[in-house]
Amino acid sequence: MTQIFTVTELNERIKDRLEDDARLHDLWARGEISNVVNHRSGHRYFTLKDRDSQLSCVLFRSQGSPNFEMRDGQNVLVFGDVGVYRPQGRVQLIVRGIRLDAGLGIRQMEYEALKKRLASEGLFDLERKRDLPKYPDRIGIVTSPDGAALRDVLRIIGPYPALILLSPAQVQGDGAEKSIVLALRALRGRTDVVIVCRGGGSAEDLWCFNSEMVARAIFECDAPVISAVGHETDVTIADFVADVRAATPTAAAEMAVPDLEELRSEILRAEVRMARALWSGLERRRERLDYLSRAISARRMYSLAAEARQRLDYIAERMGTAQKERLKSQRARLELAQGRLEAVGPMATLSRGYAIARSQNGLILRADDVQPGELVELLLAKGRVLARVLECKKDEDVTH
Amino acid sequence: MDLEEALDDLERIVAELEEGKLGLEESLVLFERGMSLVRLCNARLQSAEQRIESLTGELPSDLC
Repeated sequence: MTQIFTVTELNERIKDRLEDDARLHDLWARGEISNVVNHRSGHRYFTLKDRDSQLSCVLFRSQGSPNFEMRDGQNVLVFGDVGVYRPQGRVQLIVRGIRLDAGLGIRQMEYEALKKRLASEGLFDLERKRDLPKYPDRIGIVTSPDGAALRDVLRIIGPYPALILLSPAQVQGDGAEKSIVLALRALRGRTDVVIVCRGGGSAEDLWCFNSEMVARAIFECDAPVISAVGHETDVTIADFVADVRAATPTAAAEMAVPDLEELRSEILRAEVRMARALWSGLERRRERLDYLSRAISARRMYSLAAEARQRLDYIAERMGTAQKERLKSQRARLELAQGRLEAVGPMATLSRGYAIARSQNGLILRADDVQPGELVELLLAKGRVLARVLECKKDEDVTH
Repeated sequence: MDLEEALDDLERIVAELEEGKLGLEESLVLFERGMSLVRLCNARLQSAEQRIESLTGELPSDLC
């Protein structure tokens, strides 16, 4: 059946058809500028032409100004999408980027376009950046096995007790992108953190780290990724996708593992704190030693105290002078405590003139434990005495 | 037990000892455990030879 369109309907249909075609989006075109019109609205209209053909182009104000003064006759590279201006039925290129065509710059535009696209997809989102593990057990490294970067990284993480998994990659030249992607994938499920790195080089050398393939492979890594490509001033797409960007391979390695000295002194501090806590626990209990000497034998207390002292000696050896002094005074207190411990043992007490009084019912601790007339036994430092009770004064406080 | 677990445990033990709510015997047991963790951590840190493996099985000679 023949369909009769209105002009509007027909233009609508052409517009839909052209603008739905993915091949007419995100495209590059090369040509010569003519008929430049800088419209009052801030939009720029021009024609892009070559020897045989020409095409209307529009650069909307929202895209910003090009970094050069547009003039007829300039050779340019433009980036954009094909669209249809319906009121005039005009096919045109909606320009999103424009550069003078000197054979340079096209790669830079690709870089910008890729960066923009990946950013809009969320690959650079801060919310998805993962924290690095504090104490990684397995560290993956994707780099060239022959590069200085690997040696830099190993110098830092070598002394740290983790398994280091090298996933070798070609980091420049043809095939580098593919190689980096495969090396990243090979580490899947095998590491707690991944370092992707290479040393400095020309922009050309580093270019593989600006590839979409590598960006996505980093994004898909199951462990957090630290990237360190080139020197501090080189920032690649890989750096944007990585969970953390380091300025250099050495810096990346320092981020991957904790500082060993720091860790050692942390452990030492834990030792000191434990010994102190144990000591102060002993001290607090000194006031209750009468009670404790019944619950725990004196010998047990001695060995506890001796143990704490041994720890303190050991730690003192490993610590600075100031700390040593402090420990010395603690040790003095400990010895004092030991002396007092001995003092409360029964023999020491008896030798000071005290006696243990017993009846046939056992120890006499209170006046009403015995009756007047009852026989009692007194244990002395040397020997014992049998005695008879004359009187029991129950209600009086007896002070020593 | 990996290093991270050992350090976490040690931190817990120190905190518990410092809190001082435990009985003497319990503190002693905890102290013992803390000290063995300290020994374990130190041993882990001291025994860190470079353990490097390559997924392709090949390592440059200067790294072996």
